[in-house]
Amino acid sequence: MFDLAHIPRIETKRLILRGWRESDFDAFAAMMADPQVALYLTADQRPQDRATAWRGMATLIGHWALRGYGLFVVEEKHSGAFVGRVGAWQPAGWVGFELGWGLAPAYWGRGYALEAARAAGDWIFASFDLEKLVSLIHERNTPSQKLARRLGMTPGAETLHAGMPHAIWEIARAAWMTDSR
Amino acid sequence: MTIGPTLETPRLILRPPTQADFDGWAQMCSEKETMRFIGGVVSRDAAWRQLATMAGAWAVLGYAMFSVIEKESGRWIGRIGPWRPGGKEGNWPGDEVGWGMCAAAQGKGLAFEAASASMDWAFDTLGWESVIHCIEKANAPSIALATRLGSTVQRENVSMPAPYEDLKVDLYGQTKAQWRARPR
Repeated sequence: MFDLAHIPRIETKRLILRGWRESDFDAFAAMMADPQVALYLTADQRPQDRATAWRGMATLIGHWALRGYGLFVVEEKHSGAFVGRVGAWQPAGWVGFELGWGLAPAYWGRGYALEAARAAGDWIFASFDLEKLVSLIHERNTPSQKLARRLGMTPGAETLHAGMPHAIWEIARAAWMTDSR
Repeated sequence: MTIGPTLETPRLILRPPTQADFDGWAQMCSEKETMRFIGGVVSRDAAWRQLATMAGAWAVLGYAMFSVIEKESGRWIGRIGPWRPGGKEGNWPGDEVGWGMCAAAQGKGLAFEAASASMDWAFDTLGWESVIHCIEKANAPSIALATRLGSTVQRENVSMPAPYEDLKVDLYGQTKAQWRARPR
């Protein structure tokens, strides 16, 4: 069993990536209740009620417990505010070892997702013997496609996820070391 | 440091879930009759997420359902124990001790054994004052287990929170004092 107290704390210029606390729940639930977030982060594209969001947060934390890696909380350094979640995601049956991201809309447009995803990807490649990372992105999710491109990722196979068309973006280890910055 | 304790009964080990439980958990999730009253059959992939949710609930709350391991075989046979998704601030109808056991392990009194140990732990260690069990009227095996534990109907036709908002259950339950005074 992975000890959840061992979830790393990673600092970037403006952000902190860290493990989950019960006190993150209100901000996490507010994010999952936002229609813009739900559009590409929930299985039915609909905003989540608090009970469903609670189970979702438990699943994110349990992913760490079962796998030893998972999605970090992204915190804004200067305010301490919950900004979103970014990191590693590979539930059973997933398309690969994913670098995932999702921020609350109030923090969009500041380059935070790029900053957080770079730090998370660096941590993943440094910590795990992986040849590549993937990101599953909805065909209409242009902000995430743009972010993936800025990380040096390229669109690969197309697939249906939750009944919706997605592309599996990917980046090889060697490319990450050069292209993600 | 793990996310919760390990309990022992004559025939069982109860401990928080781990990745090693996945095959057993997924098997149970594929059993139509077993899953009939606990959310229905789900795929292996969805079963993994349920397992992760349970592990995460342990991490957030300090309690959740135990993975039940049969000592003799070493096999995962079910998940039983304290359950209150959302915690005290959430909308679960109370402090529940719940259960689900794979078909191969049913009929041997093992669920009773695990639920009894869970009741002791919930009252003695979590400090719960009473427990409930959320049971549909047609779920005769669970009603029998609740009755054997000494629980009685407290409220009928109670609506459940998401993701079970279409469901109505009867709340069986008892107080700590009733549990401690039970005939043995």
